[in-house]
Order: sequence, then C-alpha cells, then structure tokens
Amino acid sequence: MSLRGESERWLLSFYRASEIDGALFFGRLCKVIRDPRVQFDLTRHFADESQHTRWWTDCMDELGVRPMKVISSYQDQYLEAGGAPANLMEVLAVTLAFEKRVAGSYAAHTKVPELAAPIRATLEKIMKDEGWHIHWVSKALRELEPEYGQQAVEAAIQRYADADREVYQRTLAEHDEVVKALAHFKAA
Amino acid sequence: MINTDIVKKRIADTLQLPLAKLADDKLLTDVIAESFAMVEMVIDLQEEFGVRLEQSELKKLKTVADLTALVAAKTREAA
Repeated sequence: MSLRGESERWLLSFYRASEIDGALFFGRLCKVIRDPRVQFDLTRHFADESQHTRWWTDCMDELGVRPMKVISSYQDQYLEAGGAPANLMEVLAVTLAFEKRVAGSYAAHTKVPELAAPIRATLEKIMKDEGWHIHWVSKALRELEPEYGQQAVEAAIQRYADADREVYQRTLAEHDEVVKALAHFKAA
Repeated sequence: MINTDIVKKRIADTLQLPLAKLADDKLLTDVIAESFAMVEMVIDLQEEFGVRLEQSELKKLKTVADLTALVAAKTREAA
C-alpha cells in the first residue's frame, strides 16, 4: 500500500483540488437558486463534492502523504471556452460536460494495475456519486426543455461539450499522461 | 417598480460589496474578478427578479450600468 512517487501524489492532490473547486461552485449556486426543480439535488451535489474532498484527504492520509498545493484553473477555462453560463439551464449544461469528464478520468484511473487499495476504494466510492450526478443533471435538463426550448438545451449541451474537448486538449490531458505513466511505474 | 438602484443594491448584497464600489461606469470585470462569483450574481438576479438572461446579452455588457439597465428593463417587460 504505497504511493507511486510524486506524480501520484500530484494526481491525488489534483483530484482533491478539483473537488474543492466543485464544492465552492455548487455552494455559491446553492445560496442563490430557489427553483424547486433543482434546489434539492443541487444541494446534495454540493455536499457530495465536499465529501469527496474529505475522502481524498483521508485517502492521502492513509497513504502517509500530505496534499500538495495544486493551482487548478480548468473550471475557469471551461467558462472561458464555452462562455459563462447565463442562466440555470446553462449552469446545468456546463455541469453535465464537466461531470462526464470527471467520471471518465476516475474510470481510467481504476484501470491502473496494482492500484493502492485506499485509492481504488476512494475512486469506486466517488464514481457511484458521479453516476448519480450525471443522471440528475441530464434529467433536470430534459425537464427544462419546455421552458428553454429543446434546441436551446441541445445547443448549450453541445457548446459545453465542445468547450470540454478544447480544455481537455489544453489542460486535462496532463491527467491522462500521469495515469498512463502510473501503469508502467516501477518502484526504484 | 424595479429600477436600476434596486438591482444594484441586490448585486451589492450578493457580492457583499459596498454600494460605493458599484459606480455605474465601473467595468464588471473590475468589480467581479472571479468567474464563480459572476455566475452566482447572474443567477441570483434571475431568481430574485424573475427574469431570464441569455449569454448573447451578457457578452455585450461592459459596465455596472449596462447590467443594471438590462435587468431593470427585463423586469419591466416581464411585468
């Protein structure tokens, strides 16, 4: 049960920083959104992101390492690439793109052979929540179609999916490179 | 009747800024440097005043006065 070098420490710190950013984003939204169609699930989503931060911190503690400071600006880059969401529907559309990317990244990490048990357990716990996040956001977007128009909803989803690809190529590909390197890591 | 002063007061409350910092000619990017805060404020204005803003409209806004005028006008249209 050991960490595969500083790159794995960076990766876990990156996950932790991303969950913190997610919690801060949803926390801000929870303060102002009163729409009963999303208030309940959004609050649970906010709590999940905070809980995930705790789980990554606990995981690193179990592995005997401290989180390093990671400057994570990619949520900002999402907003820059796709435009800041202007309304509730667009907030959900950017969230959907982001959650799909996070779920994919965590799933890729679980495929690394001989993963330390605390990392695998944390990834699996979080992935259950990520599945629910994608489900509730997709459902809420469908429910908003009569109000915003199906075309507008589909266009927003597509716009943020495109933004996701752009940000991924620019920033998040680093994550995949670290995960690939971990698969071939040999302890010195 | 919702006017620009009421909208400005709401922005100040949400962002926890003194009203003096929200002069009409202030650039929004100077007042709200952080993107999450911008999203929070925009969503709050829509929830509070029962209007909907579009990205194409937001992209045209430069100053505090542009934003308060847009929200006040939308509120009048919705009434």
